Parts: sequence; C-alpha cells; structure tokens
Amino acid sequence: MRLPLWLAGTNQRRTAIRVAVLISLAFVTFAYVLLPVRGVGPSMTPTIQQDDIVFVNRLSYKLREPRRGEVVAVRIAGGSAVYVKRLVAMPGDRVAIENGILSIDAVPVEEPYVVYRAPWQLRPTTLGPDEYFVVGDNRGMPMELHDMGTTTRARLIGPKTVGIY
Amino acid sequence: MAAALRPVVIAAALAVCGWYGWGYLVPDDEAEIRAVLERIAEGVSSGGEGGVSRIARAAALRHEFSPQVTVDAGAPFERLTGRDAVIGMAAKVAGAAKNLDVRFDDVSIVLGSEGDTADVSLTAYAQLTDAAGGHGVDARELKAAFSKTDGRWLVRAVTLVRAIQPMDTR
Repeated sequence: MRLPLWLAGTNQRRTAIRVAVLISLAFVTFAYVLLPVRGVGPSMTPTIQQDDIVFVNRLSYKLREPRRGEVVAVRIAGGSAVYVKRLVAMPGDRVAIENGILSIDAVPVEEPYVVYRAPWQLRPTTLGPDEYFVVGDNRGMPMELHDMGTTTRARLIGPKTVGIY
Repeated sequence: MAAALRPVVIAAALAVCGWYGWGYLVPDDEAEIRAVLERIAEGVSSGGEGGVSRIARAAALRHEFSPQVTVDAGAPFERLTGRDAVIGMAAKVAGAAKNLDVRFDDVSIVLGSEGDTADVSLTAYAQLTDAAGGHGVDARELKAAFSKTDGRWLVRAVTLVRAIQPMDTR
C-alpha cells in the first residue's frame, strides 16, 4: 500500500524509520529521563501553579548529589504520584524558621522565590545523615496545611528542569 | 509454509488461552489480593448514584476486612479499630462526597513465607467533588497487612507511610 506523498514523503521506508526512531526516543525520554508532573495544590505558588506541567530529570541524582535550593520531586510509593517541593537543607544542617524566615546554622537564608510569607515557626533542628528538608515556596498558607519536613535520599527522584506554565 | 505453521499457531493460541483460563479459574494469591484492593477501591468510590446506594456499596466491603482491622491512614481520618468502625467511615465518606474516585496504584505485594500473610505497599489516589462543588485530590502511600483466613485474603491493618516526615513529630 502506497501512502500519499504529503504523508510519507518521497521515500516511505526512510519516513517509516524516522517515525520509529522518534517514537523510540520519546518512549526512552519519558520512561527513563524526564518525568512529567502536573501541579496540584497551592504549596509551590507562585513558582508552580495549579495545572502547570514541570519535567523532572530522573538522571541527575544518579550522577550527582542533590543541591540546596533545587525544586525536587519526592517519590510517594512507586512514583505514580510525587510531591514537588524545594530542597532547602541538607544532612547535618541545623534548620529553623523564625517568623517565616528560614535559617541554616543560625544564618538567615535569602529566598527570592518566596513571595508570600506568614510568621511560621519551626524550632532549630539538626538534620540526620539521611535527612533532607523540603518545603513548598508558598509560605503564606497556614503551616499546618503545608506538607513539609524531612525526606530521605532514596525518595528524591530528581530536580525540576523545564516547565510549561 | 503456511500449512506447516498452522499447527504451531493453533498450539500457541491454545497455550495462551489455557494460561489466562487457568489464571482466571485458579487465581494466585497476588491476583486475589489485587482483586480485594480493586473491590475496596470500587466500593469506596462513588459517582452519580444516590446516597443509600453508595452507603450500601460501602457496607458490602465488610467481607474484605478482618474483624479486628486497624486503619491509620493519617489526617483528616481518625485511627480506626474494628471492621464496623472502618465500614462506618467508608460509608460516611462515600455518602458525603458528590463524586469520589479512589484507585490504588504502585501496588507491590510481598507474600509471607508461610503463605498466609502478605505485606502490600501502594499509593492511594483519590479525586473528589464535595457537596458544595469543590474539587480535591489526595495521594498518599499506605502499607496494608493482609492475612488469609478460611481461604480468603482479608485486610488486617492499614498504616500511612509518610514520604515527608513532619519535623514536629520527630
């Protein structure tokens, strides 16, 4: 069966190979490299809004350690659902929040991504060897409604790369 | 060539049918546990039907739980002990929501060495529309302990696994 010229081009075999390669690349990319995540909820406002799409790089943390300040995906169970939070403190850090201001080892942290800020209070706590402190960018919501705290290295899938806002 | 292949194709088709038929007629333990989870998700989900139907569907779930079941799924749900308390909460949730869609993803089953217990890890995913028209989505990791009683797999305990551990509870 010969496909029309506008669909298959002048060389059907070459077109078919190109399509197969593109499909394979897309499969490998979204299965093993980029994890698409749709934003749900207000905890990362204004960085990530409801229904924004962001892509998480699954390979980064296989090649390097997580970095303070990155927006990261935290795995829930098998990974079909994830938390997207900001990694603000690393193992060994002494983290505290006073009147909404984050401090690491008693030094206030500049957070330009935080637009909304309520007077949150978190007593100083030193993180253990496998504890990473994650919190959303929306610090204007009630603290008790905001999922924040420590997670483990094994649950950190990777950093956010690009997004569709 | 086609004639020579025909017996091979027929044999392969019969083997596949036999494989699935055997699995359907004699389900293995993992398949039975997955079926229990499927029934629980369907029983708690609701959409469009009346409140009495939803409550009746939730009440039918009592056969999936051990009489001494404990459920600690995290806030806003209280810790529940006993089958009646769990069914009561399931009926209450199903009756209160205008539309509730519950499913269990990432199901991972580890059978005990004796073959009569199992530990299951899963993601419970819920989308709901409340009576006022508000929409909500929730996903949480749960661990469920199953035990086999009189040939039936029953849920014995459900606990929340926190992917992010709150600092205040440390």
